Amino acid sequence: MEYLITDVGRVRLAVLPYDQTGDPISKVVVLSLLGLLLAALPVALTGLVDQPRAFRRHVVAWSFLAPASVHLAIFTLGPLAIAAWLSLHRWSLIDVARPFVGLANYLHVLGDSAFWNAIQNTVLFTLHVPVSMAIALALAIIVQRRARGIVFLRAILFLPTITSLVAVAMVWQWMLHDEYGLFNWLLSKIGIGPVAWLSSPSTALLPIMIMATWMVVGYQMILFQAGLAAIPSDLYDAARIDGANPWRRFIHVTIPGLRHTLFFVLVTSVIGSFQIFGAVYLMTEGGPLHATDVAVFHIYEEAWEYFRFGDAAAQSWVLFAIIFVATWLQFRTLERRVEGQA
Amino acid sequence: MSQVNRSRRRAANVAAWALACLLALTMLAPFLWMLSTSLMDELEVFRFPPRLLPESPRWENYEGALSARPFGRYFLNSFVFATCIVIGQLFTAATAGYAFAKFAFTGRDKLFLLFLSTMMVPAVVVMIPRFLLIDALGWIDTYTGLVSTELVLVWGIFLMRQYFRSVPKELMEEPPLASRRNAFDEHAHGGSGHRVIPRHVRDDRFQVMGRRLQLRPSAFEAGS
Repeated sequence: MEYLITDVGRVRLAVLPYDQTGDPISKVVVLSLLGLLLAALPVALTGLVDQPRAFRRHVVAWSFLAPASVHLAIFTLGPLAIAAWLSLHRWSLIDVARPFVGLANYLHVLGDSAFWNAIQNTVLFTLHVPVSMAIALALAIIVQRRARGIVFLRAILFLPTITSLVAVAMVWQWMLHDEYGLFNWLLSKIGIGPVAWLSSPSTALLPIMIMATWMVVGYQMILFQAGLAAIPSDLYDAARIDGANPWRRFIHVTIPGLRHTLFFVLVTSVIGSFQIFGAVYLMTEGGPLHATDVAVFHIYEEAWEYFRFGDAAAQSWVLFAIIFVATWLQFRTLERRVEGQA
Repeated sequence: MSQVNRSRRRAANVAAWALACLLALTMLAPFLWMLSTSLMDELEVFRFPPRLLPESPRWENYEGALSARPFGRYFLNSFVFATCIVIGQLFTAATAGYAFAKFAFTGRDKLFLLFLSTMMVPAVVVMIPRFLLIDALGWIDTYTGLVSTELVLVWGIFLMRQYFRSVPKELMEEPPLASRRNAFDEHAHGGSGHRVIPRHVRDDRFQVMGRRLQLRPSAFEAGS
């Protein structure tokens, strides 16, 4: 292997050109995984040949699934397998020696209080999801009526979703600024002293949660609206004839009618919220005093600031396990109930 | 009695509107401030108490920003990227979402959880392996390389699955559908019985479903 020597400031680095960084083992892992998946399918299908109906159904189902499955296997599962491989090594961009260390990275992660602090912050941050969903549902119901200017209102509420996070974060940073910010100026008008929004460890997570809610309600609202539009209006008429007041109609018609949408929004929002990165990276960089250090930001720092890719990969798998359990619990407890009502 | 009801409804309407306008304002405020500060110079931006409007709008800020970089090229890149992935994701999400929602096959729910689990891994984790993969394929610095990794969106598959599931099953099964073709015609064409949609399109159940969804979301109860 040939290294290029470069000086960065006072540090001299030996850099490996990236065409030489390819790990032959990772290619073998990816190819064997793909082969395994492709082999599993015919095996599964041949078992069904003696049941023509089931066989046909499986072939049709799999032809529908094929484009997405093949793509996921190549571009997501393959890279994930490599990431799993990395997590068993002490692997760094700038260190040539990449010894196999077994589960040492995982043991290190489990005992790492900074990582668990980040997980705790992430869980706290996720508490904004039910709040934003409640607001979004209320908005969807308001915006659903036919009235003049409603299209305009809908567009305004959706605006944050289609705006670049970087621009949004910069504006919010300004508004939250201790000395020049809009919020503290407004508070000073009603005689409340300046609040150190982003610069105090005790409050810093809150403005980020507020901003995340602000950004996400419009998108959730649109999904709820699509769900509301699919609820047959006859059900509302029937409920009205039965003498149900608006609240009871909401509980007994709207909520059951929206169950698939509610479930979708909850699951995806929790997953997305566990992976919050951009807002933290742009607004606080995990500070002050790690008060806003969230899981993915922690992983990012581990990999790209400290170049400990093995540790970062191990942390990613621990985070994955946490999100997976959270999602699985939602499927177990909520989707069964959703089915029961169907 | 009805008079009381009407005035009550009107009050509720006004309250809902006031609330909606207030929310719209909080949504718009950061944008308005962004617009305002984009016309200020740096000193003005950091003045306290903050000014809501620039003293004299500096339109040259925009000129400077737009000519600082080749934005024409950037917008073209974004346009090509967006067009390709929207087409790709629509196709893969509709087909896979339909399979997950409407076919019973062995291991369906486990496979779906596997699909979903790829959403749970932070994107930074697959960044390096994906880069190595694209490089191995010789697609670095090409649109192919940029687009190829984004053609499937599991989020979209999940969304499609949920919406397909809200469509009652009876509607898709063979005998009821055959007998209800007339009902579909009536809904779609105002009961004239005039066939606008060619037979081969209607015979494809998937498309029929799609059209029903589009035309009459409230038509579902017709069969239940």
